[in-house]
Amino acid sequence: MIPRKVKENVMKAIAANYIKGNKCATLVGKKRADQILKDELTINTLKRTYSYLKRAKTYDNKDWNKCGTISYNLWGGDEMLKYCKLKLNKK
Amino acid sequence: MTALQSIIKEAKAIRKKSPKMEWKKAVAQASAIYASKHKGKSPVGKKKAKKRVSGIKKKASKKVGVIRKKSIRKTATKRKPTEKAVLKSIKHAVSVQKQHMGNIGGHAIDRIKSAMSHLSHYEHTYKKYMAMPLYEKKLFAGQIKKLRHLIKETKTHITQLKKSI
Repeated sequence: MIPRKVKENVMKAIAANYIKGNKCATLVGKKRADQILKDELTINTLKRTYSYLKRAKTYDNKDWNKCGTISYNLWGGDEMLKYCKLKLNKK
Repeated sequence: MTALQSIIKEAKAIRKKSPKMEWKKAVAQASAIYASKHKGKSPVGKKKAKKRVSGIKKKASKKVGVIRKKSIRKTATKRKPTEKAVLKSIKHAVSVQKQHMGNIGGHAIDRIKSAMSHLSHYEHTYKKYMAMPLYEKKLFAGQIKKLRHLIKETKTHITQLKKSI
């Protein structure tokens, strides 16, 4: 079960992206947001999410008008990164 | 409260009413409600006004959703000169020319005139040669070449004389 905070991040990101005219994030990111909201994550996708979030943390500057923040949070944001670490037993 | 916050709040309320609804659809509905509340000014797809660097002239900041009137550009139309001004300029030109002609000596004009007559003579003969049939033209090829050279030289000579005045 994915934490509530992760889902809230994703929901906020979807709304922000909608306001921007769905310009931000790739199709993969949008699909991942859907998967997170529907609890449809496999271990492989969790691994992929973890690797993305680790790489894309620099794009997140808490400004919801920026595409970097939106796409980072579409993948779950900081909470998702913690969750992935926990699930994948990463230090 | 920003547009994003109010839309999220509204979308959550919609989702409470119908929990099976997708979040995207709820957001779309919420934004429509937001637009209806704010006189039909939807926040979707609006760009945020960029900060301008100091030194550059500031433009009026764009308000989100506000329809701006089209500014009519004033085209700079050239003023037509008045009749009086035109006459004045013509008079001035005539006086300048008269003054200039007064300074020129008769000798210089004679030189130009003679050069002009030479040129006309050369051109006339050149035309005569050119009107000949090809066979004869080939016979006088050397002379034609010389004439062409002379015409060119006299033309430059005349321009130089004119400049020297």
